[in-house]
Amino acid sequence: MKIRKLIPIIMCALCLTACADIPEVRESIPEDEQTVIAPPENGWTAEELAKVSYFDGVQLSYPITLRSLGSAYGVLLDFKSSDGDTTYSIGKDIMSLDNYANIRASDGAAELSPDTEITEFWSYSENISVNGIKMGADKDAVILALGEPDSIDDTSYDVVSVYTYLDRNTGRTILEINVIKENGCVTVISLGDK
Amino acid sequence: MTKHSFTASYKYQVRRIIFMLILTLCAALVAEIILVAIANYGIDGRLTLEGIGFPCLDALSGLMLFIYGAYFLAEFMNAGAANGVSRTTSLVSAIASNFTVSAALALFVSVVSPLINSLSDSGSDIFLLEFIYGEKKFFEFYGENAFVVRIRFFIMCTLSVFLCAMVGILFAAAFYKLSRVGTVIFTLIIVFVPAFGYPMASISLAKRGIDLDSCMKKFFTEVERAFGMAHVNGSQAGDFVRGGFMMLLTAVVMGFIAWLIVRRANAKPAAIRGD
Repeated sequence: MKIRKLIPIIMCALCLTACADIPEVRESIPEDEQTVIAPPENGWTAEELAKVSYFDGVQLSYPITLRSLGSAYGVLLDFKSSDGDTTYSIGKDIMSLDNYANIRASDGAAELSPDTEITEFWSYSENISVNGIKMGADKDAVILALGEPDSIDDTSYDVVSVYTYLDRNTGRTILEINVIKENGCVTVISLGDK
Repeated sequence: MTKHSFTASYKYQVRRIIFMLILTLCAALVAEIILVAIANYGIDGRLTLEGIGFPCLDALSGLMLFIYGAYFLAEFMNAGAANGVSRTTSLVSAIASNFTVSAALALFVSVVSPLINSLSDSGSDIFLLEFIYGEKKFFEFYGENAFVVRIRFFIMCTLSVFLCAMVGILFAAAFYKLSRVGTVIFTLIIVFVPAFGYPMASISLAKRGIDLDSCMKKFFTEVERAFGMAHVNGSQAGDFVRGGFMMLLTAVVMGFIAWLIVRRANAKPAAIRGD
């Protein structure tokens, strides 16, 4: 076979080979094997909190980026709000809410990229856990697992109280937990660094 | 098999298939336009093409070439026999012509499908292959060149459509060899075994403690893994090299089996015009 006849075959093979730096699939850790530690006495840092935080069983790392979540997750939808902020819905499958979360990227990022720092990461289902706390947990369990929050906002919303945890070094918000006032159950967990 | 007989058969076959393809695709597109217009008129009383889209044109193409691969083979064999072309030449040129048509169809899908889908509100451009091997935007998100991604999907579309055509050719080869009674029995087996035989076997084996469903699920998972499908390894990105290689390999094996069947078949009389 002449070399020139091989060229299209070689070109096809090259095109089929993924050249992009797509990350590996991160292993999902079963719930009973996830890391749970005693809350630090003087509060959390973003790094410490990330180590005990899991999304869909995948252990988070600081800073949270889409690349750090692995190639199982992609951007499914995006919503632009009136103030110009964009909220992205990420997950494995648009048909499944089990592995679905919403994110906001760091301020000033013109467009989301795999390495853009995620400043807000929240979900309306039970797929986010922070030191063993998931949606549906009791408010006493929250304080037991994460320590006393830096602030509790009872006034901004009628239905929920917002427990806020700040980074002990930077003073930035690293965790917000919405607790339903009526029954004391966690309804939304929002991680981040904002 | 001479070069001349192969070339002549190949040209004839490509012309025959392409004509039917153009006819079918035009019919499908016109039907889509009419249906969307009627639906829009029914909803808000305006004759518009809002919401028009043809997201699975690759799947339709595969289905069409499956049908044409099966439909045309007997005709090609007979036409070849009438012109002194051997069955091997007719079959090899049928495989070659189907590959050419697959590439042409994949090009059509790659160009026309995004154009039609861009007319809809969402502008979505979803091929069935994107569900299987990952969305184009995922690869672009991780920094791949958009053109290379599209070329890759074009190659995969060509190979998948060609595979469908080869399945059709394999069926047609079996029909070519079988007698009339054998053809009827084979058709009944194809239709009724998956529809009724499998559920009955599943129930009767379950009584003996054999879980056929889970065995089949494992089997299909392994097949999907062999074809590098994205969801099997939990990633958004499938393995294109493995998928492309497996599609080509399966198509070649099917072509080889079809050749073995056809060359051992009894020679059938060529179609006589007006008979």
